[in-house]
Amino acid sequence: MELSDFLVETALVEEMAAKEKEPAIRELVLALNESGAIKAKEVESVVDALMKREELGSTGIGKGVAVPHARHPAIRKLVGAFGHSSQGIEFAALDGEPVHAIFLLISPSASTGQHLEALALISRMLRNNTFCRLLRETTGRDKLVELLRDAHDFLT
Amino acid sequence: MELERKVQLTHILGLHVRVSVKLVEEARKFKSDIFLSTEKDTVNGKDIMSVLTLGAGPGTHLVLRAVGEDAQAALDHLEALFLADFQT
Repeated sequence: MELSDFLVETALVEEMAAKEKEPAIRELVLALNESGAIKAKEVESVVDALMKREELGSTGIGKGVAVPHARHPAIRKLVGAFGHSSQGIEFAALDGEPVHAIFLLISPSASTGQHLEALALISRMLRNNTFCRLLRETTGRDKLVELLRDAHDFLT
Repeated sequence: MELERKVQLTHILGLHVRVSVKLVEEARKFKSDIFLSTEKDTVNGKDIMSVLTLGAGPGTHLVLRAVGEDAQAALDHLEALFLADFQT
C-alpha cells in the first residue's frame, strides 16, 4: 500500500485555517467533499463520526501528527485527506504538542484491514524523525505534494 | 529478568489506535523494556508509532517480551489487557 492509494491529492490543504480540532476535521471533510470523494449530504455525519471517535481518545499520536479516522456506511473505499498547519492545531495530542500535520481517514463500515494497513504505513513514516520535521516545516502545495509522493523513501 | 508470553489479539478492530494507545500507556507504567512481536516484526511496546506499524489485525498472535526487574508484573498486567479485550 502507498499513500497515494487512499490520499486524495485534491483534498490536500496546504495551510489549514482551523486552529482547533473540530474545525480542522470539518475543513478536511469539506476538502474531501470538494474533491468529490464525499457527497455534500454526508459531510455532517462524517464529521460526527470522526468527532465521536475523538471523544474516545485523541488521535493526536505525537510528533505533531494526528490521524483522525472513522468508518462510515456511505464510503465505498478508504479515502484520506491531508492538512498542514504551520502555526499548529490544538488537538489534545498524547504528547500535549500542537499538531502540524493531519492525515484524516474514512473507511467503509465493514472493513478494518485497509484502515490498519494505512495506519501502519503512516506510522512507519512517522518513526522517521526527518519525515516528521519535513511534515512540520514544508509549506506550499507543490512541495507538500512532492513530500507525500516521496514519503515511501522515509519508510522505517 | 527476561520473560515472554504469547497473547492473541481478539479485539474486532485489531491493533488500532485506541487499543495501541492503551497498550503503550500501560507498558510505560513499568520499568522493564517491553517488546511486542508478530511473525514479521518486533517493536518497542512503549512507542505508539512503533506499535501502530505492526498493523496487526483481529486474531493475530503476538509475543510480549519484558526485560527488567518488574518483567513478571509487567507481563501479568499486559496479558490481562489482552484477555479483557482492552475493555478496561
